[in-house]
Amino acid sequence: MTDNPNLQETVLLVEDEVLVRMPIAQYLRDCGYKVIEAVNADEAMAVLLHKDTVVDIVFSDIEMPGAIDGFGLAKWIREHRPGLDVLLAGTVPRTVQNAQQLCEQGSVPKPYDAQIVHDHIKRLLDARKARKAFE
Amino acid sequence: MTRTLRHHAGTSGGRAVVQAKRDSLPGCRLAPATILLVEDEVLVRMTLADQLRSAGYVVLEASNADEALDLLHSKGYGVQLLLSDIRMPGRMDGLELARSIRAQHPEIKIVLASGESFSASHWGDTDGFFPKPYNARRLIEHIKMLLG
Repeated sequence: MTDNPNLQETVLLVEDEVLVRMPIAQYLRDCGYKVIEAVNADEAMAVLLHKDTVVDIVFSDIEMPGAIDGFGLAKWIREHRPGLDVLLAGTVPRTVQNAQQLCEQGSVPKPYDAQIVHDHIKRLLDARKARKAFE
Repeated sequence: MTRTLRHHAGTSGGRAVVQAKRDSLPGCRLAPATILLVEDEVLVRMTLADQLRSAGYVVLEASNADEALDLLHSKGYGVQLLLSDIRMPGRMDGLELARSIRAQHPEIKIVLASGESFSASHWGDTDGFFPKPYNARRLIEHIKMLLG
């Protein structure tokens, strides 16, 4: 982690419940990440299509209102932003298992444990940096 | 849907990093003020929140009036200023949100913004009105003046 905002890693957090989204976003910011908040998949896709915005990892709820849920968003990202890690979160165990099948990166259960979320994100970003170093 | 989040305070050291960054900002020796930003367009919200955080503020983001009231009614989170778009989808627009917050939390400063022009009779009971697109420099100067 760095104090230089230009070198900060950016998490795109997708969560429709504001009282869930805000605390986890603040926690991740306190851990040194830049966090972009999106309330649904449509907003997340708008951010990801914005050319000037860099996103290093997407952390998304699975169950969200709207035409596209977390699974749909993960599929869209695989198609449009291959190589971008997606971490999904859900409350139903079977849903979490499906998430694990969809995303090699795994999933986290809800309610969120902030430390577990942070550990997952840090591990994925470290692995991403290691992959880039070997490219 | 659950609204629980378990924190492990002090395990990351992140707060110390953030506080050190805030302490390095001129005029930010005191605890940073908290702004509740209400904006339904994600790219506008993202950009403005980033600019406000770079100016040293803690920013809580809401995409509509209901989310803003949820944040205020849950714990309050020490919000000192509401910055809200006027035209928003949902149960309340920015003017109704401002009236509600003025009635319940008169200590909170309120600044409204819109791409449309509104007469002062609409936003006169607030602490400022800014046209959109936002001029971030002027807006932040105004917020600094309001929050002292």
